[in-house]
Amino acid sequence: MATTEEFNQAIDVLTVFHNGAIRPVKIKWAGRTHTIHHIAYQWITRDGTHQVRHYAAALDSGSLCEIELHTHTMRWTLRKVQMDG
Amino acid sequence: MNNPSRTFLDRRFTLGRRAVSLAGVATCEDAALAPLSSFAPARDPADRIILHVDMDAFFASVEQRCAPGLDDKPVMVCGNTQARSVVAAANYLAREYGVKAGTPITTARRLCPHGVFLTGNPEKYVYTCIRLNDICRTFSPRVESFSIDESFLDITTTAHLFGGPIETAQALKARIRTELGLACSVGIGPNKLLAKTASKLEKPDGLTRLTRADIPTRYHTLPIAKLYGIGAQTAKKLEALGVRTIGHLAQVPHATLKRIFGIIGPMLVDAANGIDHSPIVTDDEQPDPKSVGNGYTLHADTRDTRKLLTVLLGLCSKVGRRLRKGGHAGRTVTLVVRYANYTTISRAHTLEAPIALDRDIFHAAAAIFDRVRRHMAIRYLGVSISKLVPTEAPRQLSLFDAQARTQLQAATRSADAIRDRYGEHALIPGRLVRCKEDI
Repeated sequence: MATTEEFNQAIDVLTVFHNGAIRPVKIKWAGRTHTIHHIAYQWITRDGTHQVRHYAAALDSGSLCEIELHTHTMRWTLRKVQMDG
Repeated sequence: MNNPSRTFLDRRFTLGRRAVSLAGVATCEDAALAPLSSFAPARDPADRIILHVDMDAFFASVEQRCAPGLDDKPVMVCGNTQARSVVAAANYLAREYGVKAGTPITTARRLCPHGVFLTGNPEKYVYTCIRLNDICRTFSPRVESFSIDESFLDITTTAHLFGGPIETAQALKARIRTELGLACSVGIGPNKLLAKTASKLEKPDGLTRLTRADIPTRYHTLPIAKLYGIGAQTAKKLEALGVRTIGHLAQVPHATLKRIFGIIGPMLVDAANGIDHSPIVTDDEQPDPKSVGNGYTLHADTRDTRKLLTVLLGLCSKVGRRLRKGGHAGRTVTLVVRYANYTTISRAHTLEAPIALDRDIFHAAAAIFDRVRRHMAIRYLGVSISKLVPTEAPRQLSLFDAQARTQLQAATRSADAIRDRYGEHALIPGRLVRCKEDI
């Protein structure tokens, strides 16, 4: 059964800006670098006048995580991780 | 009344329409690129081509997209999996266990103990809905966002650009599948009623066309409960009269139904005959709301007046904010209280002057709350405000507290500006800071 844990932690994300699109490629979290296998889904919300871009990312390790980029602060946050257990 | 069926279905379609704030500009790329001469000639309004797009198990499907490991599991999306809310959406696997939208979570856990219960994320669904309507607008500029997971398109003048109605629907389904990764069912009909009925005939991932010629064989044979706009109680009444199918209803004389159901009776017969003149209402044409309201189910039933008033304050703040955002003020404040045994009461009070400030709404709602019996723990509170007028409408000013009111209005404007810029949670009433409810 998969378990989801909330983190809400600032993280570093290697990001590709290409052709008007943003693509997170790797995340650095808890001292380890994880490669993003693919983006399963993405959506945008607003925080006041600013956009927050959310990504449901499947990691190479098989885990799923939800990360978000606040376009005003340009900070990435790891919201939650779903791990198979 | 010249056109009773229009009134009935307009009302039904208006009642069914859940407000979704949608951005995006109406576009129809192909239509815009096509020379004017290529547009189909104007037709009889009765001879329309309407598509109804109905997303399949919408919330659950979006969550499955976010977590592909859930594809083969019964998935139920709820307001809060820990609280006592109901299932908002269940995927088709969960439905096999008898769980559907509206099933209490406790019942759903009993019916489907191994199911996956997820807390819904409305922002994710609203964004997906906006994307859905953006895609729809590339097939026709006449798109009505009927609810968060349903849209109507009038493709009467654009279907030929895509090869015809069926081809348009196929292309639309393919775009939704490719760009959103979601399945939908599409109904095609000569009006909204038949298009909506058609989309329900083959779910999930269906594509069904109902023409007028199909009415005797495919529409009239449907059970009466399948007629759009018929609730469970009306269906029961009709079945008691021996009306078991839509076709049976179509044969009942107007006068008989008028005697039993009043003004709605003859309209039911028209609907049973597939008659519907209700127009597509685009975002720009949406009428002003009749009321604005918010409700909340508490984590646990309570008789704690302080806690209940805190929740009421949160609700009034939300209602006030939405009122002001829409440029409205309202005169009638309604409080809805649901007790632990699910008994629900509603009490309203109409004020002399319209209000839109959080404090005024809270004072009015709290005054009603004071008069409500609290003989039993309370499960749910709701506040709404109706008899709306535009904020700029002239109104009677108070002679006694003009200065204080001006200051309060200025403070509210500043608070709204801060929330506009930094988000809804940038400023909240102090009393709500320590409130453990998710209001």
